[in-house]
Amino acid sequence: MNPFYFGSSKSPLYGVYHPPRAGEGAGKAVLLCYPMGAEYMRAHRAFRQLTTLLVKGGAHVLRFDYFGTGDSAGEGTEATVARWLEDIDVAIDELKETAQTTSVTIVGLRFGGTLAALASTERNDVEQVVLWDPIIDGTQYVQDQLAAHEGERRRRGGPANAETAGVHGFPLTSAMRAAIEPIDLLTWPGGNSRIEIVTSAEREDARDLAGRLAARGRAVRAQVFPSNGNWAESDAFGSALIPQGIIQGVLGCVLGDKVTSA
Amino acid sequence: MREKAVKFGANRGLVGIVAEPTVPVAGKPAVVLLNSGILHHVGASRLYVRVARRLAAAGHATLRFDFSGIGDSEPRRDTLGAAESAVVETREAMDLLQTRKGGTDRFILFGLCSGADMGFKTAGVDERVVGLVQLDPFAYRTRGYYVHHYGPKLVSVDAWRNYVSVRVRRWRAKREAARRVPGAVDEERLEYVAPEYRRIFPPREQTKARLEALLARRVQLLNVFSSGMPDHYNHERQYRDAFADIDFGNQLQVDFIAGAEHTFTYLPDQERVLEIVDRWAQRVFPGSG
Repeated sequence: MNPFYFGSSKSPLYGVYHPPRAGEGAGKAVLLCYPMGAEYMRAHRAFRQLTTLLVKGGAHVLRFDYFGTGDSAGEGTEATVARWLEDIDVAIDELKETAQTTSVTIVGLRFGGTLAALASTERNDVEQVVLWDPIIDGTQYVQDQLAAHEGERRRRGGPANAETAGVHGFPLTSAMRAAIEPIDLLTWPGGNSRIEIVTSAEREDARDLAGRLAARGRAVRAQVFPSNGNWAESDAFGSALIPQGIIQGVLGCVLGDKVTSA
Repeated sequence: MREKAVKFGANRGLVGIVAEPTVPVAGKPAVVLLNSGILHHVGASRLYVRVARRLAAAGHATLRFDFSGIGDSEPRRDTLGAAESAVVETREAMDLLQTRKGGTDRFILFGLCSGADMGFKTAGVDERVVGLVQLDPFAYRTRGYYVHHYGPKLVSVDAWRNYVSVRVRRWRAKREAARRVPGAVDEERLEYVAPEYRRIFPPREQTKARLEALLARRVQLLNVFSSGMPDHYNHERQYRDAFADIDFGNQLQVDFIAGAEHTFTYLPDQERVLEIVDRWAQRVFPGSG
């Protein structure tokens, strides 16, 4: 495991690169894209576990923090969707160089899945993109975030329609809201990657997305792995969610028959 | 301010981020930030990152890192328990900062909840610690606590209604528990990892003795309380009242952020914490540069 900073020296990104376990041989290179806000904290341990399993299966793994999140440079209020998409581009190149591969798989959870999809569109070196409980409807997602903010605002006060809304401890700026709201993955054309949509429960919008992508001639598969998927929940003590069923599902999507057990 | 990812500890299994001033300021202690529960070194609501960067900008070298088995750090290969290994690893973190270029042998330990407990424990055994910042540390009820707790409720109809409903819920839960098969596992809960650390407040006399030892060493103390431990703490004066038999001199600052959650999720509360910590550090450790 190698924790390091990469990208622009003015606003470096924090990442942790995990080489494949010795003796497993060179395998896939997998980039993990976290969700945003409090969901990032809640998912950190699940990403560690997924990483451990991928590495055992012979994969190179890079997980990293977008600008303004985690240990990367910047304040949360400075983050933008456009910058995060650039960050994924930079991370893909970093991973390819480190792992000495020509293509990568991207696994993104929740809004990280949405970003992974969008970032893969124009690239020819993303072999596979795995959308794990993805946010498909940006408008609905922002509404859900604002509902959480409103609950806190009622308890603690603060102006309605604030420029920056606090959502479970993380800032959501009006610029970020404006960038997320128009996102509708149902209109996403898909790119050159194989697309896996994995959800922890049956979701009509996920089936719809898979159907539309298939109709556009994309290689797509949608699977359900019944698990806890309440990523948006938050508590006062910072519990983590580690949904074993869907972690194994994601692992299967990435490694195929090379799946190892925990 | 510049940052660097580091690996350290006995097997180089501990991972952290050193944030340090671009231009070192003489006389400023280094700061080590300690995990709260299973939250990784970024801290609840990214608070640790912001505190570390603010203090680094003010001239302190800082290290936020993960205890073994938490966040980015590897599990230990020995059988040392978490409470003991946390002290060992905090001292390793201090060693790392001390041996870096321009390193110091004076440290401030910073932590929320269990992180505060580990800081308090380590401060007791390592004389390099000259400052301790504890968010929601050990607290003890006083007469004033009960006045603040029950006073407003005695005259509130809603409070009485709530009291009855809580009693009914507890009775139902007890009845449910009695029906459950002994040893049965709630499989859904296996997918959650809640902090394994069971926070047990030591007896007041024990905490008092440890505080007195720190005060004798001239350790500076900053306690910031939220409203997130309503069973233990509910007003600003409570800490000093609970230890009215200790002469803190000018070595203790206590702040109470009324209404704040235990993990300071409300954005203005985070700003308050940053400001309190920054001002305290500048006041008690102005540096000699």
